[in-house]
Amino acid sequence: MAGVLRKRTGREFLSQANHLLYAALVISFFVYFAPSPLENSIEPVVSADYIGHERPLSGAFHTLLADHYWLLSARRLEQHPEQGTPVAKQNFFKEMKRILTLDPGFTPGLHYGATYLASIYRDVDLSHALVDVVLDYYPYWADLIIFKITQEISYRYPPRPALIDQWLKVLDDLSYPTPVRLNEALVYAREQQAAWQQKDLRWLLNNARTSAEKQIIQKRLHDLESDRPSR
Amino acid sequence: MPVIALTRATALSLLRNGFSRFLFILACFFMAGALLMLSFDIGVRYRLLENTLLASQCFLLHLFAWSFGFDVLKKNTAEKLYVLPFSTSLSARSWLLGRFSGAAILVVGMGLLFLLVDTVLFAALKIDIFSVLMLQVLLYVASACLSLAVIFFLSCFLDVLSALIYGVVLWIIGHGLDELLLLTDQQFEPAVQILVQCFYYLLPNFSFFDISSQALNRLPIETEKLVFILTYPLIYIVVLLDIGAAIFSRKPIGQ
Amino acid sequence: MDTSTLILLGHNGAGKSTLIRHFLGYYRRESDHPFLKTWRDIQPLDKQKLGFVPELPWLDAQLTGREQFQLMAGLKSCRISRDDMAHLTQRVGLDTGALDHPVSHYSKGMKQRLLIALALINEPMVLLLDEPLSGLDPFGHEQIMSLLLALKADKHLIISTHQLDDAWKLADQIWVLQNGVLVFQGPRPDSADALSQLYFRYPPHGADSVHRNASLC
Repeated sequence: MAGVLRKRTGREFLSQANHLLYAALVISFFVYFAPSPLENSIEPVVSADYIGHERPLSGAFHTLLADHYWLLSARRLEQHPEQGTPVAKQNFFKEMKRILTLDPGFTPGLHYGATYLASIYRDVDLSHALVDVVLDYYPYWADLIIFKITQEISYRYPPRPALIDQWLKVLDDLSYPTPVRLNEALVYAREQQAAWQQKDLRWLLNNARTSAEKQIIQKRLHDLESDRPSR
Repeated sequence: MPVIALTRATALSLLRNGFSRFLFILACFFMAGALLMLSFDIGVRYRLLENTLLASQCFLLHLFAWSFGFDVLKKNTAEKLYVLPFSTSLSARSWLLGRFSGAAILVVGMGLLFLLVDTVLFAALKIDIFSVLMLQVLLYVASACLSLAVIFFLSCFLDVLSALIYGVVLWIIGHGLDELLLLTDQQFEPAVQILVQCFYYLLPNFSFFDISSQALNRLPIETEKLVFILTYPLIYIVVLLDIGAAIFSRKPIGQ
Repeated sequence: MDTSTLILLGHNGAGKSTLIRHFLGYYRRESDHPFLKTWRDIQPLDKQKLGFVPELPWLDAQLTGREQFQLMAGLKSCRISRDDMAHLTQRVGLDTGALDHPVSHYSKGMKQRLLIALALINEPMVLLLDEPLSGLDPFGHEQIMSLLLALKADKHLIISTHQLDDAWKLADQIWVLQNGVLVFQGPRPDSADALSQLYFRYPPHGADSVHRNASLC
């Protein structure tokens, strides 16, 4: 009995504590890396100096994770059920911010995200917030100020379909199905400035690759020309 | 001279280990895997290839360091390899330094091999060989050596498996120290801030070695930062091994 | 040169290996082992002048015999040529060709010879051997025994062993340990039987029956 009830030695206690710690490490690994669905709720837009947990936890692999999110964002955003809504805008900002937090030097992401926010989502403040994410990091700060000014300018003009083309190029190279082009065409069709819309839709029509895309763009173009409200 | 002899013997022993050969094959497999990214263009041509190469080389160099460290330390205890050397007038410092250098020299060798592979590949693909990109590979080597030194240090007062696990955990934590300090400065009480500052300056900061963003995006590195990140691991490794040797020299041998 | 051979005797756990480690200065403080406080008068030896053969072949099995020589020579801060290696291996009766093979390919007897050869690097004055004859087959035992008898001529030997016949053949001085206490120090008895009687006089505590049985024999 004495043997059964003997007191644990310090070494045994430490050994058990070690096992508990190992178990905690393994569990936290799986909890952290478990895939999570895209959030659909509108969360308050966080400030630019907010620290995401991905950056420290991805360790030395943060740029690879940035590329992963950059590729993933195309699919996640294009398939988002509320494309073109404030929810989509928030999600777009969050995705882009996450990419830039992970790789602040990724200029294609910065240029694309900031211009998209200013030009297409019509939110120059969010666009500037995205630029602020890389402000402390990017060595060419003067470029960023000029870039912010260009966002102000692009905000005053209608969205340019050419902007989307850069992103589509990425998707094309990855052989993704590309309904983005179609969705974006619908976004433009909501604009009231008919001349620009017609110009943009014609550009999209010229660059459309599938007959399905062509049909829908032609329909929108036809609606616009016949001065019918589009949605 | 004892340090050189130990370094040589340790490196030779590790090279002949079957697991080292497996790691080498794994490295070849990773390099070939990275080449699959050749055709992907995500806005910047060859970025994904460069990124995958860097990430895989970082992973492999640390994997080499950890497995070499574990192998050396496990042999020390399982085969009591320290018994015979300490029958000579070998000091604890020389022992630790010799064993560490033997493992570290192989990590450095692997790093140089990776650099060679990168150079040949980039030349073949007509990619500009950007100095910061090459520097990043060398910094991964420094990071792996520091991580190895941490494991050696921990093994002076922990068992080998725990030393390895805590060493890897410290490597993970060491990448988030900057963010942790920033977060506590913004959101926590002064007492917590002081505590975190203590951690910040005591724990090895592995994020110093990470210039992958600059390397991939062709951004420059300031000279002061460069001097600092090259000096930091040297000082940290020397201090770690010195404290480790002081702890080791207080323990009886051959128990 | 006037040399002598000291044999350490005692039951299992008497402290023979511990005393050898103490000679080697492996203990840093008195609290490192309970026996150490009884050996306050015994000082560790000068490591510059001694060679050590451990109880088991604690060698890196991946290294060849030649690399073991190079390592040990480096640790002793001396240079060793291929001729020196050949000379030492011949001296311990090891085939020189074996030096190019990893130690993992060696037999127990070959490892023991290699360990003795390594201990002889730099020609130490004192050789410490911890149970050098244990686990060997009769051939290996005979070879190592004759090697030790040859070494006895020009080295001080300190040997721990359980084999009383061998101990008697080798010994000039006998130390007997019992539960960490040095209970006998003296010259070699006149016969192997006398040594045996001396040995069984100091059983481990709580093993009186063994002592009695031994006396009956």
